[in-house]
Amino acid sequence: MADKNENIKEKLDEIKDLKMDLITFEVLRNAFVAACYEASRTIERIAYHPVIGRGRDRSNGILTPDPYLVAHGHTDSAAHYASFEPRVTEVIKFFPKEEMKPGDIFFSSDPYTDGTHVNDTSLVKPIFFDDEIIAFTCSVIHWPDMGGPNPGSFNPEATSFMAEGLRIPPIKLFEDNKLDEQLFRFISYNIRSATERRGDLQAQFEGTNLIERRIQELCEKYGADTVKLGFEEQFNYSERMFLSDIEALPDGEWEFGDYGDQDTMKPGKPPIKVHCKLIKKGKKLIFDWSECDPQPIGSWGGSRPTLIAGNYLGLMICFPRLFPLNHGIMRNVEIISKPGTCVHVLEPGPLSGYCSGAFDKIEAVSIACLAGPLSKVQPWRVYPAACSLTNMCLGGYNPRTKKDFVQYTYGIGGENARTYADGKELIFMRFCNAMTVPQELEERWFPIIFNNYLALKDSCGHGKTRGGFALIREYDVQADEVLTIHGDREKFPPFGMAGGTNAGGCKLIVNPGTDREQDVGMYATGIQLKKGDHVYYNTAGGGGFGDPLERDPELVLKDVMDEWVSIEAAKEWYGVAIKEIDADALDFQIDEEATKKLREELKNRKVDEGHGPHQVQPYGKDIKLGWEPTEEEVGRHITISRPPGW
Amino acid sequence: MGKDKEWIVGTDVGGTFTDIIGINIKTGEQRIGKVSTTPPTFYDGIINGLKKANLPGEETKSLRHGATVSTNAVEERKGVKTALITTHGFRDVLGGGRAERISAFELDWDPPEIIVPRRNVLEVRERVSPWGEVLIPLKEEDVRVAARKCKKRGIESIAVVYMDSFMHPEHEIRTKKILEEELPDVDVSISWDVRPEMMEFERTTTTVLNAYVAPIMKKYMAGLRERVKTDWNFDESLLITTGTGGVVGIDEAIRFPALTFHSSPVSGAVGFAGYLGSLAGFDNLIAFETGGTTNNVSMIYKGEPAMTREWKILWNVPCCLPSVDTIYMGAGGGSVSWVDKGGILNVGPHSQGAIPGPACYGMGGDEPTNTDTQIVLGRINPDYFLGGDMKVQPDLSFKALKEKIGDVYGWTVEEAAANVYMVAMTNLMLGIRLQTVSRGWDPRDFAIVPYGGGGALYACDIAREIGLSHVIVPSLPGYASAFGALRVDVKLDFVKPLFTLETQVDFDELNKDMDTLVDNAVGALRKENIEEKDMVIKRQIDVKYWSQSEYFTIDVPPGEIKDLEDITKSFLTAMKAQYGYNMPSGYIEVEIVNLRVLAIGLIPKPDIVEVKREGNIKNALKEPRKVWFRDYDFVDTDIYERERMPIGATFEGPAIIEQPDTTTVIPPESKCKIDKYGTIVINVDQTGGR
Repeated sequence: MADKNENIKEKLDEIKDLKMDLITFEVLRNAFVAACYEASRTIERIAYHPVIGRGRDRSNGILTPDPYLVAHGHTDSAAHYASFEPRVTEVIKFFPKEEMKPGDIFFSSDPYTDGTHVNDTSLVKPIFFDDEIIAFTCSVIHWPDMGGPNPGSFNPEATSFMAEGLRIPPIKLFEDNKLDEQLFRFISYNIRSATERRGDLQAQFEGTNLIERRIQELCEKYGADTVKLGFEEQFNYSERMFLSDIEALPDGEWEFGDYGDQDTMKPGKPPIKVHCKLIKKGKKLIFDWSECDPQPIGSWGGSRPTLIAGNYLGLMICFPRLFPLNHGIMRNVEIISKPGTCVHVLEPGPLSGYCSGAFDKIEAVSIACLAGPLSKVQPWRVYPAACSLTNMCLGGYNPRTKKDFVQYTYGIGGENARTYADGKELIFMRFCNAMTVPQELEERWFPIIFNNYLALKDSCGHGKTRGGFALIREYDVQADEVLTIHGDREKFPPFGMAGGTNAGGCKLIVNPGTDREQDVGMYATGIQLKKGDHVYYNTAGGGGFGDPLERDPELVLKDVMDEWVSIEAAKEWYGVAIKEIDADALDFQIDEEATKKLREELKNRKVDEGHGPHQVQPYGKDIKLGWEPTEEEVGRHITISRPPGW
Repeated sequence: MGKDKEWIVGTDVGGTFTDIIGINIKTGEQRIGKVSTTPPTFYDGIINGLKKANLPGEETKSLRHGATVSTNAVEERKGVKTALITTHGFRDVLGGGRAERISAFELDWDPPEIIVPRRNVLEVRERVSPWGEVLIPLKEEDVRVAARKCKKRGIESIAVVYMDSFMHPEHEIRTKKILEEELPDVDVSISWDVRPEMMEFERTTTTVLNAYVAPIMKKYMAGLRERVKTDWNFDESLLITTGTGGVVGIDEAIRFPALTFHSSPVSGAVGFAGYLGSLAGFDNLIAFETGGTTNNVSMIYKGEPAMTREWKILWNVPCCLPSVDTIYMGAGGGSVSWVDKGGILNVGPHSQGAIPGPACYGMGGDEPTNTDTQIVLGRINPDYFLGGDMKVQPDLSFKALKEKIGDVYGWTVEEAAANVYMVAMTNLMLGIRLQTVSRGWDPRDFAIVPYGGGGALYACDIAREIGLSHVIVPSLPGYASAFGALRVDVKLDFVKPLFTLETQVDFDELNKDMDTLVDNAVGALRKENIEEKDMVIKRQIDVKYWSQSEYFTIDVPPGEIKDLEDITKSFLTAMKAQYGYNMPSGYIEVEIVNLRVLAIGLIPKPDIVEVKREGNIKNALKEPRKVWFRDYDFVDTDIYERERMPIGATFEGPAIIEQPDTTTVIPPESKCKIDKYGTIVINVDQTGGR
């Protein structure tokens, strides 16, 4: 029982202001999330591109007419959550609410206002009940291509949004629930594989209408006023939850910094700094990002809504019970940024790389700032950085299917170590609830044949608890095609904490081990692959926590037996000497004597301080826990943020 | 020959009880027995039950058995030491899975440990292309090296799964042969035998699951066969229930134990809820079973169970055999109510289980559970718990609800219980509704069949909440799975992946493949001793729009397939029905995913006979009490003893019907009838309905 030991009296005071009966509140709370989830499932089933259908790069939200976010689906993509409010706000700016009619649906994709990239398109629909707009629904999905020079629309070499595909202001794409074919045709002339997008749009349309139906049903059943009050009470509820978490934190100031690999288009390709100062005072949380580096020339940064989204996500990860994110949480956080910095990019700065670039760093740094206060009260919620997103796109013509194609992969890799347990391996980055697309499906859709799908040895951040391991994907190219990647975390891999090291970084090599070998890196743009070329790609591991020399030698032995960690790394990083007696029989033994000696010798070693692979991160190294949590203690606090029964 | 063989007997081994039910096909006589389950030698319990039910082995024609052994072995991680042999370079397909999280935010949650640890995933050089060409020939020496490692490591069972092997199974078949030579005592499961279907991770877990339980099932089945022979004089057809809602012969269950996963709830849903619901005149049914810790919900639509192709036995461990879709919701009798930091009332998902159990058990559990709630609301009779066999302490229920919920909000204990009930009921309702709605079905077209210990406590309110009119409460709700085993046929499934655009189909090839599947199906049914006249062979094609994720299974009319016009038409109709649209024609092509053959062998299924029970319903009345109903608060309520209610009797709610293994709650303004089989048919529709 998570709340068993908390003070009952306080709860009483907190809910005495609830303006509706508790049961109706509970019904509505679940019904709002259920409607979003149903819509997301519908989209998943009928969407065409695997990145939506299997990869779940889609989200659905319900908003008040104001528009404040009420709820979103529990398997949705976190990068979309904070974009709901600005998307609807922008629609209202161009189409006043008084002029909206039932059956109007607005389409848009403008990263400066919604905080994502052009690929994340949205449908916004006003939900009417008794001739009044009672709510908005907003549905976001990732279109695999929005035009621009490279298949997939990612363009690390862009220096303005003009080179990143079609940017679309709010337009009325459906009137009376009918698609404006003329407008769609206009879009379809500017993007690749447009026929499939017609299917994806249909999926989004069905999902949007489903939410509309659900909200109208609730209004019929409980009355529109109760539903409206229900929205408001969702906010109050989340706010109460949030403030009770915040109040438990000690007051103080903490700061943390991390880097993006490079500003590709700036001479010398300098790294990009993301820095945050967290100020906690009473019930107030202020995240101050003013000291971030200026807006890069190349595509890496994000607009201000990106910052807000990444910052909230960090919060939600540290306080998972707050699910779903809604306006009640948003109104209690102050986020300060300086226009023209890498986390607050201004027009016409490029944005297609926001996710692997700024968003991922913002999320990691928010969490790392919160590690300051959390380490004293909830030490299990202290997390180093994890494997991030890489947007890898292939495009061209598939002679087998006789179709043009765009393939989009976001890699999986190692999650961060926990303070009490290792990080998970081969899992999606923290801000995504997606699933991988089966190799056997990809091979049939796209002209590639895989020859490797396995974890990369020693790629974890080492530590008393280690991070998870990265994934290697290798494939042979079956037809001429174009490769673009917008990644990061090659030179500045996910950071470790408290003496745990940073993880190993990402890598992308074409034709490795041949005389045509080319290390194309994480910012490869429009690489022309020929039939027969071979592509090697590995993601990053997760950051480690604590001094690796304190790791239980038995755990090191286990990692060696599972071939996650080499015998050499066991010795070098963990000071554990392992003898291989008979590998076939899995007979490995710890040499106790040698281990003792090794650990003694290594005790005073200085691990390189820095942001590179397997170094100790300067901001992270000084984090100290109030106490060391046990797995049992943590187990009591695990909450699965999905409604009961699903 | 001795006496005529007139009995057909079903058994089901549950966590606590082993249930036995036998029906005499000549006389319709029915005998039942419930005894304690006896792990690890479960057949002891079965023999005890057969004897308790006084069923004669030598007069029994067929024994149908629900073997929970395989499911339990996986859930409790008690399978054998298993290795996986896979294509070189693909070692982490199994461990990586679909990389899915249970939640975007909760980093402290860990998925269940992988069944085969990485150290025992061994790689062999070989590769075939997605079109079946050999890219790298099988390196047999790698297989022998793997065999040597397995031997040294004491591996008891091996799964072999190669990439794209369903296009060219020779490498897997050859590997199996080598392993059998090298390791004669080790079980080998290859994906070509278990599941020759696309998607490497799903195929791998299915094969691994099969390997993980194969030696256990082999031993268990041999033991069972032996014991029923020596201790019960039975040596006739022994059939094992499957997750498809059918049965297979014991040899097939040994060869292919993955078929038996989650067979127990499935046979309850299909053979019990589905059958009794249809006898009451309904063929769209929601089978709703509530036990101590979970609810199992399955759908029957137009007489057929709703299937899934990817049933998850554990988180991210799918078993990809066609299976009756069952969702599990954690709102059983032991689910706990509690107040969260935002001051909101929650029910579950934590459960007190059987020990310490609900507060009223007096075994030290001081948390208020759903059972306690029902006691406070007057719905469960504390003096008649398990028919009076178990003493419970209602004051402890009151105490728990008062202290943990009532005092927090300033509610009376009754108000607390009512609110907890509403939260629990609403959660169940949302979960159930999602199951119908997500398939494009209108839940209002369904009737609910509640069973298990607690289903009938909630069913009427759920029905009203969703807007459906009828609730059907069969007798013997505690014997659903054992009974269900009597009412299902032999069912086997064959598949060939195709993955071709409609416009690129080679019809000669397609017909040839389909014929092969049919031949295999007929051969397999023959092996099950099914005569031609009892064979039903259904040919099907899986169809979808190009690159869409989910497909529809379309029945194919008999005869040579010359074009796909009708199939495409059926697909578009299904698409329209479920998702409300079709793409403008010519926009996106239609794709043929798999060819399928469903082989059904019809076997004798005993019918239940009409019950004769006459008299006046007044004689079934017990002492009335005040019971809480939604929207009515506490009202004076008639309490009936189910065993004394005459057939054909009609009555109205509010009413409580008590029987030793369940309580049925009938709200005011409902009309009820006891039908000729003893089933209570409740019309809860206040507007008259149906």
